[in-house]
Amino acid sequence: MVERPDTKSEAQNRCLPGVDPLETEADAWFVREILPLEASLMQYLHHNWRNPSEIADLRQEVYVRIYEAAKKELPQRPKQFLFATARNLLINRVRHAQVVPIEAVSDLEALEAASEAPTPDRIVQARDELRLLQIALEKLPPRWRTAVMLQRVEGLSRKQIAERMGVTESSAAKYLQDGICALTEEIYGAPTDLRRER
Amino acid sequence: MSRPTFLQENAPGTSIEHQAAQFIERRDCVHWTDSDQTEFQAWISSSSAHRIAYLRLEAGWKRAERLAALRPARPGWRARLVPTSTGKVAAALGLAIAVGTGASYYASLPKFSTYSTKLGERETLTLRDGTRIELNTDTMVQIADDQDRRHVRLERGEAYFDVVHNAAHPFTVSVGQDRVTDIGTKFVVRREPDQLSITMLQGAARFDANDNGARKSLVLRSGDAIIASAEGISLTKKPHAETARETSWRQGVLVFDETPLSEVAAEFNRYNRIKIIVSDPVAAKVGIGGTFATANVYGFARVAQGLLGLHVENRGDQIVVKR
Repeated sequence: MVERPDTKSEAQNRCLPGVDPLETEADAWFVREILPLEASLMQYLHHNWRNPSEIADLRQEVYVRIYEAAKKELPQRPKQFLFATARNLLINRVRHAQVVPIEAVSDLEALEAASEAPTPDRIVQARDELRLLQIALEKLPPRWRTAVMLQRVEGLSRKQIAERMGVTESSAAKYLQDGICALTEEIYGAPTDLRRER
Repeated sequence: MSRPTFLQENAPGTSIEHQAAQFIERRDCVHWTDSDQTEFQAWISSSSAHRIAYLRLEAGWKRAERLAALRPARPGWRARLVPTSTGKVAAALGLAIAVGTGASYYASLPKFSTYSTKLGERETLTLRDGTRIELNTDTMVQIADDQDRRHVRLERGEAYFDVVHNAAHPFTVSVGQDRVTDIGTKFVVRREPDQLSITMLQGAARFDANDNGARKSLVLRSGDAIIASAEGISLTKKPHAETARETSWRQGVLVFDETPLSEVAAEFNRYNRIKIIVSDPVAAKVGIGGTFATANVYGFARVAQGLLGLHVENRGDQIVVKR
């Protein structure tokens, strides 16, 4: 599981003692090998699936399948395995749908023919990490961004964030929770183009 | 194929992802109890979808720990920084804005962070891109380092700038309504109540002055020295030895070369609580040479007395020099 060597508080230190150690190899593999491919996967799903509201669900299901497989044996070629899984999922979705959505898949033949999706250049060097985070933050709605900044930059508690923002604690909690989701989406899911932002 | 249950639970706040976010937020922001732990264990063990949602958010959230670098006195700002007027919090938020967040929530907060030195102190500030700003004694600057520009306001005192040039991210020093914009540069700017001086040590910069309402623009090159005051703007060329002398404070020393005693006294007085008073107009013109630590006001007094034959009187907070 993800370690937190530089723990800032006792609360953060209590990470995942409850997690089954047998699964940690798959966990680490998933974070290391699969998450960095998320932007490519999203691009692939958006390209091949017409209904954008289903994309997040599709991604989740691809991840579940990948992860279940990885628990048995770690796939040797993560990228190929990820895109093959995504492709099979989309094809099955179309084939097994009782009412075939005529436009669900942009081009089923092309989808079946495609062995592997292209991977956009998404190599972010370590020195660009902060820059990437900043770009991701900028895309968040202001209140979510503020809550994230107050927690990650200043390490504030829920109560302190609420006081600083002049909102209730439950609102502060909600802003931060939404911020965590949105920031992760930007970090992993959104296509990154550092040059555009410079 | 049938969809797993979780795919129907996608209302905000109830999706698996939001459940994972709730655990993370609670763990990091409030006291995490044993029963929280039990609940979390039960939740994460119940399905791979839960586990993956958690792993994913946790990985993103952990990467966001790097944002702590935006905190002043953290890696981005290697020097010990003492934000004064705006306070620590505003400084952190000031930098948060510097990230380029046009956040409405931040709009009311100051965009600049303030750093200052006390009498006799020196301080080096390092920006994220490696640009160094050395503050001399009794100096105050306000710094905004956002994605479009780097802007330093020299509110008081003197600072040395060693700028990492980046045309897409210009570096500007402003003193009142006058500005210096880096073209690839090392330079010193000093603000006094009635005048501004700029000395170029290396490279070039553009100086935009507000001369009684009229805008004037000059390109300064290595060795150029500007003095701007209410009377006008003068540009002179200084030999290297002189510019080196003027920046000797960066090594903590004052270097004089046939410098009139009145100027020597004024220089020492910039750094020390104990002031040198030259009450005698003839003594004021005596030329002084030598190198002194900025704090070594008594050492200077001994030299004045012993070598120059001046009369030195110690009056507590004042050292009075006469002929």
